[in-house]
Amino acid sequence: MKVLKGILKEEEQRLKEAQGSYEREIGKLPKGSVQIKKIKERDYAYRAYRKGERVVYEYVGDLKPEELKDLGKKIELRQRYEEKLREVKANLKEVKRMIRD
Amino acid sequence: MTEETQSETVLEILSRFQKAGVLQRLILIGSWCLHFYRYGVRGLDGLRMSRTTDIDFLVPRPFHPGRKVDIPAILQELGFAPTFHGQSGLAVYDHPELRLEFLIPELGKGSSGPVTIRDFHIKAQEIRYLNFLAAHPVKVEYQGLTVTVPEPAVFALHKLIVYSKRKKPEKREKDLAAAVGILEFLFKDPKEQERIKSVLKKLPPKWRKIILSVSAKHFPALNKYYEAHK
Repeated sequence: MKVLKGILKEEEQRLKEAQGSYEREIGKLPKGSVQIKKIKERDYAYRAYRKGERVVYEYVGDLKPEELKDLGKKIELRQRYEEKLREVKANLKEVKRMIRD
Repeated sequence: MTEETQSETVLEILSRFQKAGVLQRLILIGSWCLHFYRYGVRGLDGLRMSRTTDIDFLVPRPFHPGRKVDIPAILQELGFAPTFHGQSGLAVYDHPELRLEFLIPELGKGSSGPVTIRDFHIKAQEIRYLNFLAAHPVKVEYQGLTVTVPEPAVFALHKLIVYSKRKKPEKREKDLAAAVGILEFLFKDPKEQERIKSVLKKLPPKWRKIILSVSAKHFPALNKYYEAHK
């Protein structure tokens, strides 16, 4: 029983560190999504994200296609990390419950 | 967090590493070896594997990367985030179900910090006795993957050494269970008994003494066989 508790405690610590790592990495990445608006036959790229109740459309400037692709990749990575962070939090909750019981 | 999704993630890592030409250069060590012994080594199919969230890769010494590969970028695509330990730049890679680490044998007095593997964009942590594992690799074929793992006999003997050095009781228990679990299976085969004896015989006397002092208590059949056949 003591050994099992030790394993769970160790996993709790790991998950806490993982949570910190995901939060740190998410903080470095842009949120939202890239949206292209067509205005007078020209494409304009915006980063759309939620700020409280409203959705903000932020013009990302005159980006070259590879820069736009890079921005899209960063947003995608943020979304992937947000999903993993949710999983980490759920696992942490479960491990804490198992330690308590 | 299920065993199934965890296995899927491990296979995904190995598959991506194989495609990038990295898997061929590294040795999978730690508890995940048991999974591959079960499926890829004759006689070990009944082996029990305890759950683990650690997946460890050994960087052999001397190391020949063969090509330049951005491993952290591959892990990032798989959803891993780096967790930095201390100021040395040593990172482990975390995932909801796993922690991935790169380890390298510590030789001589060891160096002051982690070892940089420039071509793979990683730092590996030096650990003693890993050269024993690195010196006895075997290849296991599994679902289109060729995974290099330490020879099962060597894996078990190494676990007995590590067991004697560990401080945390939970880690000690796991090491011992893994070692005894494999030895029980291997000792059913006279060829493997002989192999274990020959590996043991070639070890530095100090290491052999450590192993035999642990096995005397937890797997006396090893001591009996060694004494009768040395």
